[in-house]
Amino acid sequence: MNNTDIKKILDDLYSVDPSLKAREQELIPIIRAMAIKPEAYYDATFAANLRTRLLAELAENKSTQSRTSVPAFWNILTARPLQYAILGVAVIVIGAVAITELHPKTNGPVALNSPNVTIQNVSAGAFGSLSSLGAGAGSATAGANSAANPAVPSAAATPGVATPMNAVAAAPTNSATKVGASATYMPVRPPVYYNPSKYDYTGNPITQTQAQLNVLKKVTTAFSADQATTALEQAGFGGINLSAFANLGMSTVTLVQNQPFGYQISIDFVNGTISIDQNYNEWPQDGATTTPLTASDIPSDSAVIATANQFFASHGISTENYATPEVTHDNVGFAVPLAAKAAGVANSAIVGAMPMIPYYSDSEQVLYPLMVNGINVYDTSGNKVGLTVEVNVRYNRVANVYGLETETYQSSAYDAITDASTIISMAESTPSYPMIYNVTNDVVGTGASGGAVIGGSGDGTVYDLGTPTMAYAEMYQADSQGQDQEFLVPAYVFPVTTAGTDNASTQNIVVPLIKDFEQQNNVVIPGRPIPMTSGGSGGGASAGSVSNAPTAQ
Amino acid sequence: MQEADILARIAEGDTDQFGMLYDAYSERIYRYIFYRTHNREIAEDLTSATFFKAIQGIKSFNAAQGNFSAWIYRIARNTLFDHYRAERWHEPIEVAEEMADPANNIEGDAINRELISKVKKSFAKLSKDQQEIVTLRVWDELTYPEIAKVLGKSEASCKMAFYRATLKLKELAPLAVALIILFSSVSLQSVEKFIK
Repeated sequence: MNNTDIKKILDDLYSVDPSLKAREQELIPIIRAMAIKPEAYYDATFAANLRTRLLAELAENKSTQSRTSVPAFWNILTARPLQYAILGVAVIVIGAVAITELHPKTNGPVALNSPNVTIQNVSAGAFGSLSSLGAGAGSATAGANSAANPAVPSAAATPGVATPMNAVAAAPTNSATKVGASATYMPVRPPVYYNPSKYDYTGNPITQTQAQLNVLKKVTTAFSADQATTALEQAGFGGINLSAFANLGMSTVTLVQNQPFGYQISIDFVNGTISIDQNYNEWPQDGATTTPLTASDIPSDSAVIATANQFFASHGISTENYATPEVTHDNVGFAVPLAAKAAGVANSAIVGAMPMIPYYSDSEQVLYPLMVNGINVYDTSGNKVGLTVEVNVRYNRVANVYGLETETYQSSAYDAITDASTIISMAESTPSYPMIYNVTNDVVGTGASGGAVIGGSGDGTVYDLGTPTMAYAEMYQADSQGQDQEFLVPAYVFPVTTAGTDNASTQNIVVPLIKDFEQQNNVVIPGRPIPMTSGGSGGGASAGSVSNAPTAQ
Repeated sequence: MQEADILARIAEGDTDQFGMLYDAYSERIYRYIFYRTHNREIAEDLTSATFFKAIQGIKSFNAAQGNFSAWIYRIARNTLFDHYRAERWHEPIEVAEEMADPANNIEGDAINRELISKVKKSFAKLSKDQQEIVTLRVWDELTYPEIAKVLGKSEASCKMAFYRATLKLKELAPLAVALIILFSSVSLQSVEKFIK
């Protein structure tokens, strides 16, 4: 990463928190460290071959289409002048509708953030198999550290991909097998196995007696041309009949409030979401001259929440769908005492007994947990889902709001898991991987096939799980267009109760209670070859076993 | 030719122009996938799958809803997820997003390696959202508008997530940062000079 890239990243950080500029020296090495990434070699032969294949495919498609009758009017519609005309009208309409939509106390044609969750019942099993649901692109991860997207590794894994430990023992993959388009082999190290944390259920007995539970699928409603016409008329643009334009839709619009402490409001009509962000041009940019906040500058939780509540009240945003807001308290950092060096303190003394100086960013985050049918919604990583508000405590103003969404669902009954031991087993067998490892320093054993078992944060640790609560797991499935469809799946949320795990990335284990997931309970941790940065077959250790290595259940 | 012009010509049926988009993005997409699979064959296969999906949808691609970059990365991301599901790997994406082995990559000294090691371990403590946003920003060098489109989030929330990730890394690896500041000033000075 070069200096220009670092500067861009720093500038972005300063746009969020200008006071960080005073800590630039600390940020630069962090960013440099973050930027260290694997070496990747892009094979020119592969690239050329793929290009040829793609263009051939396109030519074939074109040839096929040319033999197909194309309606004459299509040619007219694709003529640029008309495209531009339609685009121009659409821009006007979008702006007009958005104004109508966002104006406080105005009854807009689309009820974003409807105060009530709307649920329509459909037939049982209407959404098809749920087994392929995952965290999806609408969230950040796929199957992250939970049983939400469990899977049984296939013994017939892709060549070049390490198979589960028990399978590898029979068929070591010390050398890669090549099936790809390129003729060049990639040397790989012997498989590397993760040594996951484990869970032990210590809560009260579980009784889940409902044979079926309702799965919810989010419904987003397209904004129709008729509605846009109405809004346009209300905004005084006259009576354009937008319905005359076939298949006219609305996607996104951004509004900017040009006044001190103004906002930028982004509306996504396709996904039914609104985000409200500070208009950086209209907010103070104090930069390095800003006096750092101290503990005494940070308002109480109730005051922060009151600021958020007041913002919602004054802008007509209902919080009826949400539980009691919580301040997340993640605005506190710890800085090294640079002043100590300036004061002539010996380096060894500073490093050996470093007193950490707390500092506070300008914003506190408030989460309004989403409630559907009276229960919380969690992502598959075990975090509550909801409306998030950033309160700038320096100016006591709301800076950002995101997570405002339509809450309209279809509901369909699915067979549920009623066997308590199965549910507990699913929770306990949820893998918790050490996500980052250091091959050099963290080898903790030798795998059955000669690969290294990699340790890392919390490896092998057994965590206690407490009595679960019923919730929805927010999961996703891509449709045929690649767009994520959101589902809320009934689930048990098991809290990690072991003390001293506050910093762990997983605080809750989410176990979906639908039978589609039960069959995937037997989880084995797969190994994965680590590409070498230079040639060679790798220096695998001798075969052996590790007592706490993952095995098939 | 500008990307918008290329897309317009493709929309009009001149699909031959797709080659220019491929030339601009194929290596980036390959790297994106490789960073998350660490396997060259898989990365090549998934890169191929990504671009074949892209040519299926390119004529209907709506440039008004986002740029091509975000669109192709989103296809690549979904292709990765499909791969994990199809292979029935229970390998979460953040595992694939591990950082590199410092022993092979660090150009500096032991102090740098210490910092990298600390940051790597601290990286695991970030939320999944933060991990993905950080890697998309600093590894794949996507802009925040592109990241927002890829992940289906707002630009501001992505910025905020990166900001919080940075704070958390600072919090979790302060001693290493201190070491860097105290002992390894040459490279920092060059950056600071540039910034100032």
